[in-house]
Amino acid sequence: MTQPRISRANSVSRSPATAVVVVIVLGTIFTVIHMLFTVTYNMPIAAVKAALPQQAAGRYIEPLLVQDYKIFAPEPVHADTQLWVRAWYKAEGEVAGVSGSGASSDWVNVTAVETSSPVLKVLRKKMTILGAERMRSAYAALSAEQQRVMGQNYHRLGTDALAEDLRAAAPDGSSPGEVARAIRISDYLDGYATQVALAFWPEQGEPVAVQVRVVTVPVIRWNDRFDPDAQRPDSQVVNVGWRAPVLQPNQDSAEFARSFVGWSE
Amino acid sequence: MSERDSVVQRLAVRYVGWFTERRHALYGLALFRMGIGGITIAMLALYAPNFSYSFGRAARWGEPLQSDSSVNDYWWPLLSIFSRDDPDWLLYVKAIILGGLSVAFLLGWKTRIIAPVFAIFWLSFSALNPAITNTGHYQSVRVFLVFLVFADLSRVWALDARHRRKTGRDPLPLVARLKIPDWVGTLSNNFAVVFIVFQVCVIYVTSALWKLQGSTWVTGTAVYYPLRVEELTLFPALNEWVWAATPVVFVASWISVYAQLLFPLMLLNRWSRLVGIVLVTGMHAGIGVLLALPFFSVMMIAADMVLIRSQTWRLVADHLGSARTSLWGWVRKRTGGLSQKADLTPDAASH
Repeated sequence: MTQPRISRANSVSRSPATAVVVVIVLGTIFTVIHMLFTVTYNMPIAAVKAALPQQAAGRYIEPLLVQDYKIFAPEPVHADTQLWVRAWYKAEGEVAGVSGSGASSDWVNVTAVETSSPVLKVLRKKMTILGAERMRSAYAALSAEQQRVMGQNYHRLGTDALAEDLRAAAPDGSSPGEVARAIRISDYLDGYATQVALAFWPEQGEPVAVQVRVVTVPVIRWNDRFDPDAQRPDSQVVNVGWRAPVLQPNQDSAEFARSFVGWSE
Repeated sequence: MSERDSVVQRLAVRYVGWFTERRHALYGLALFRMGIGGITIAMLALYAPNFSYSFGRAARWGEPLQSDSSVNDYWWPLLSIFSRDDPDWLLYVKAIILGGLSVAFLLGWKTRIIAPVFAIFWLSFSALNPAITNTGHYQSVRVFLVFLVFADLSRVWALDARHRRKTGRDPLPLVARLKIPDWVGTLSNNFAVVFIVFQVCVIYVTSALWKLQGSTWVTGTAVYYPLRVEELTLFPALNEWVWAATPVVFVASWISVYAQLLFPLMLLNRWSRLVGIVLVTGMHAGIGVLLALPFFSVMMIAADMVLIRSQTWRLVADHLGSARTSLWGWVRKRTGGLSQKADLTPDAASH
């Protein structure tokens, strides 16, 4: 079957009228501005970007035209990133969070659950991996002393105390951006861990505390790829302390459990 | 008039002519429309069994990142359709409406109305859980949708086109009655094409410039690493076969960088454009299968289709049409008795 040709009726066949030329000129000006701002906003070369109108570009591009072009760059992903979760439950008859006794669950690799089938793998991005990557990045941005604070338990003192101690531990006395990012991602992952605890160990009731761990497992190095005895390089682990469970308003824990437990079986 | 003035005038006439003489890339735009409609339907279908886990009340635990996202700055009415406060049953209803709009968009039905409504629903949906939908290919779809609503998406390969062909009337009589001058649609389409092609080039060049800041892309081993990452592996045996072929890893790594970097230059000539499109399309097909990113791949391949000239698409369509006619002829011959009882030709079946 022959396909229809584009009708010339769709075109401006005569000499373009003044209105058409005016619209083309205005459209061209807008297009040039759009191109300039798009290039400015996404320029990967810092020295060039510094010379471009970044503020105006940001106002134009955000939020609708934002895109992350770092597709497998500057280096491709070279490790499996996993989020592990465990929960602490009070012993029978114990007042929660007072005595410090009770029992911890085993660690669970929740990323393995979230990527347990091909369908789940293609539906990106996985929330456990995104959360783990952001925790790793937020943790790396902290000073050694702040990282030590992150590793301590705050399930009794709460997030405000953690934030205060992180600020106090900053080398120059303040690093509000880094602390805010660490607290935000900590809240995010603690919320997820709480749902996992309620889903995985419902017979234990509500947990007293939850804990997350980010594990980065590098793939076998390029030079060892044909060595049958090659081992993966050592994993890097980000350990944070016990935190109080986080339950958001309107959270449907039963529905979370239905999906999560279903994938884990 | 000096020779210089004459050259400037000729260039200006040619420039204005490009925008006014015809609507460009209509076949590529139709394929892009189908691609985005198709991946939206597939995405919704795959999310459906566990929709609440990702977008509903089971995902409320993600509030710390949801409340901090730039998508909360979307303009009206993008935040007023899907809401994080919606109960799950209402989200399901809205998702089904989005699914219906996706089907209409894919088929090119009443597109001048459906396209902006689909875009608004899609963008509103993408604000539900930005931890998922403010990343990767979702961001690309978002940007392209903003441009696509200004393009003529259903002039060919669409129910609208079929309606026009059969009745000679516009598929939207109410819009036709507004008597908007035809050049408005032509200019709108052609500027949209410029924006889309520019965006495709920005994606490729920026991505290449980022890659060149890393060492493994330059040394040629980069492709090996993601092929071994569990999260990105759908078919382990296939991935192993690829990463074990050392020359393939080197060539794929270098092509990934340099085909992207030089892509805009390759568009300047017909044959180099063909090479460029084959390289980036092949790269995305590989990413889709080997790195578990089919949605991203289909979206980028669909965007690349805009770069192929309408003449080429018409040639392809004519060949496919001839092949289909031959196939029908062969089928009718084989089922001669049946065809006398019922006319099963495509045209008859469509009535």
